[in-house]
Order: sequence, then C-alpha cells, then structure tokens
Amino acid sequence: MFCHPFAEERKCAHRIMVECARALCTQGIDVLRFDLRGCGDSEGEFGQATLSGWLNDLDVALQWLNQTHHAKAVGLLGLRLGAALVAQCAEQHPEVRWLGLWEPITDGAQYWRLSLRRQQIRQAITETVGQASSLPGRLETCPTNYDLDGYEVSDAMRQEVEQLSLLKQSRSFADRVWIAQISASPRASRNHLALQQAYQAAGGQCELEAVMGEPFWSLLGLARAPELIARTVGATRQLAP
Amino acid sequence: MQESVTFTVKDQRLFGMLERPTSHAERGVIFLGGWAGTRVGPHQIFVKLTRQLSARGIASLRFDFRGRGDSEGETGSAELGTMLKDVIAAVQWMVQRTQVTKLTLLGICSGSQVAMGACQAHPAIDSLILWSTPSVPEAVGQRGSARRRRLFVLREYAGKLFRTQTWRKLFTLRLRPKTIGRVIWSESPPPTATGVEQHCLDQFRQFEGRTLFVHGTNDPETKPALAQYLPICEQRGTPHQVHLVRGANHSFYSVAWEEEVLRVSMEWLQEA
Repeated sequence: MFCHPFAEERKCAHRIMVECARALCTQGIDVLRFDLRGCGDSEGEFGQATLSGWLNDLDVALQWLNQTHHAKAVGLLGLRLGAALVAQCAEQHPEVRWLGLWEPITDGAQYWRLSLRRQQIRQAITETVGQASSLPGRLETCPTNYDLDGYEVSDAMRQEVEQLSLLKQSRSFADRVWIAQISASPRASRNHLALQQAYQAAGGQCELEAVMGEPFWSLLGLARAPELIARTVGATRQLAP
Repeated sequence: MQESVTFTVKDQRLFGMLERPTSHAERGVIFLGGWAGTRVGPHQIFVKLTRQLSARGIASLRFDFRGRGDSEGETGSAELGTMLKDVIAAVQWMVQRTQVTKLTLLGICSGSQVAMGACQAHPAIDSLILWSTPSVPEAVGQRGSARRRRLFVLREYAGKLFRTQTWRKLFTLRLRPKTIGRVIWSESPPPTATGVEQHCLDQFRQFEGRTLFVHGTNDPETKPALAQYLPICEQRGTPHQVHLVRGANHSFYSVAWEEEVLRVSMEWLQEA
C-alpha cells in the first residue's frame, strides 16, 4: 500500500508512484494507491484535513486491503510526509511485514519551515500582489490558516506537521525496513542514519540506500526515476515469504 | 456525483472522473491538464471547479492523457499530438455518455493548446476556457524574436562592464571581440511551431464560439500569447473575454489567485 506525499508534492510525484506500482505488479505484488481525505480525487477539503485524520485513513485502507485481498504479507511504502505516516501506521499493524520509506520526513518542524521558505523565495522572485498578508504564508482571508502553493493548510494541520518527528520517539516496528535517500549525494544524511539506527535498536532489519536522483516531488515538469523504481522492486523481494 | 470512468484510445485505457449533477445536465465541461499535469490540476484546481459546476447543474469530465497520471501508455511517448487525439476521444465519449448538448473545453497550459486544436471536434463545443495558454513560436515573428534576443545579449554585456573581472580580461588581452560580435549579430534561428501546434492554431482560427482567456500578469507567456490570440478573435468578431489575475504566476500558485480564477471561470460559464 502506497502513501502519497503532501500537497503539491503529490501531484509532481504522481506518475512515478504509478510507474512504481506497475513495476511491482509485474513482480506479482498487488498495489493499493489511494488519495487521502481532501487530496486528489477523494472527498473532503484539504483545508480541513489533519495528520491524525490521514493516519485513520491509512488504518481503514489497510483494513480494507486485509479483508478484500487476504495477502500473505503486507508492505507499506510512502514518500516524504507519506513515508512518515506509513512509519507510524506500521507500528499499529502487526500484519505489516515490510516498510519502504522514500526520502522520509524525519523532522516535521524543519519540513514546514523549509516549505514556507521555498514559497517565500518564489514570492520574492515574482510579485506578491494577491498573495497572503505580511505574516509569512498566512491566508489574508483566514489568518489562522496558511497558503501553501494554493493549498489552504489549517493551523491544526500545521501544528501536527511541526510536532511530527520520527527521531524523538523510539521506533517499535521490528520487521524489515528499507529507507531510500533520494538525492545528488551518495553520502547518507545524519537524520536518515539516525532513523536507521532507531529501527535497528527496535530489533528490525533496516537497510539505508542512497539513490542518486532528482527531487521529483518538487519538479513541475516531467520527471523520471527508473533507478529508484528498480531498487524498490529489488527491495520488495524481501516481502516474499 | 463523482464516478470513476475509463475510455480507450488506440487500445490504451485512459482514466478519469465524471462528475454529474443529480438532474440531467445540458452543459458539460472537459478539463485538460498541462504537459506534466494530471486530471486533478495544479493545487487541485480542477477538482474544486468540478464540484462547483456539479452544484450548478453542469457535468464535467477530468481525465489523464495517455502516459500521464493513472492512464496507460508510456510516459515518454506522450506528446501534443497524442494529447489532441485523447481530447477528441474524450469529447465523443462525454457526449455519448452524458447526452450533453453544450460542451466547454477548459485547459491549462498545453491543455489549452489542445483545447484549441479540438474545438471543431464536435458541434456541441461552443466555448473554450483557456488558462495560461502558451503562444505558438512561429507566429511571434522571426524579426521581432531576433531583435529581442539581441537586446537581451546587449543588456548582459552592458552589465558585465561594471565587473572588475571584465576590465582585468580587457587589460590582459583575454577578451575576444570577434566572439562577442558573433554572439550579438548572429541570426540564430527562432523556434518554429510544430505541425500539431500549427494545427491547433488553425482550428482556433475557424472557431466561432466564445472564448475566455485567463492569465497571470507575472506569467512571461501572457504578453506574447495575448498578442497572438486576441487579433484572431477580433478579426473574426468572435465573442471573447480576457481576465488578468494581478501578480499571478503561470499555474496560479496561491489560494487568492486560485479563487479568482475559479470565480471568473464560473461566472463566465453561467453567463452562457
């Protein structure tokens, strides 16, 4: 089961998630992709969504998958914020045997800060007329909420994102974990190494791979990630009994 | 009510979402995403508009082009020509499935180019909503294009005059005047329209329905696009409207810009 990333990152990464799902299908692995509440085609408003609501969506999707597919082993795969969500979801579901984390967000506060900063840089390049108020990223019509590239983000969501941390609490998922760091650098980042150690401390087998590639979740044009998909297919072989 | 649908083009399935009001809809809108876009649109703008349309008795279809979104087909094989064929298939499918008698094609960026190209595909198509339509290179004019390029290069060299590095190069005889001259005066060939782009433009020239252009004032494509398309509408005397979203970029990346685009498009559709 695949969990998509946050806001416009979902749109940019969509085709790569589809291509990966199709590659996994050719290896005999069924894939469930779905839109969280308020995202993509799903019902609900993005501005009213919360991370806790999305965790609940993942639980319901997992239950549906178990009831309809009776799979021998279930794996969860997520990208960026979606990876942070599946990491939390896996700890509540003993039927999950494999966890794939594509460039996981380990520090929500830093992620939120960088998302706002990126938007401010873009605003500085273009004119800011029609954009939100003097408070960075705030919506003029509803100053408690945020405008993230055209997505209304509630303050409740902002708080939950900022509180999210995969490193502050110990990890309890003790099965197989595969972390893919997607960047131009072959060196593993400090946060990803710390996450690997947290999973190893829980007693699981955790592999951290550096996959050289573009940050396709933030590219507006067409992006390809053949190496990431091939390595993911390779890593999911661990799902086989 | 939203329904997941598929239709086929050249044995490949295209995935989409059909949204219909509770009663029969006379008008339908087909949404056409940009080059790398999906049926959801940037910041879900298509989804938001389909829900507003449904509440006002208008049916709509959002779908992924071949090689895009969830649709079948190779990502690398998709181009403007395949997008155009997909739109034409979507039009036939929509009319047959929903029995709408009036149809609007709504596209963003490349999606609006193929909306122009498909505007004669069915007699039900009576209007186009074109968000951030790019201009077609050929019609911009070769002389104008060369002049603009030369001015740009001259400005770049003028800026370099204030750098110490430039003067150091001059005194150490490392500047190459011949190369600079060649760069300034060369007539590099301007980009030309592809056959499909030209076809889209030709189809639009014959279109007699209404057109709404929506552009952001901070989109570099706005000026050349309007300079190209407005004279076509004016020459033919076809009804058209231009709305400029102040400060907005190409994909209207802010809640305020998005709301303005949705409001203007909705009002214009309701006038029809």
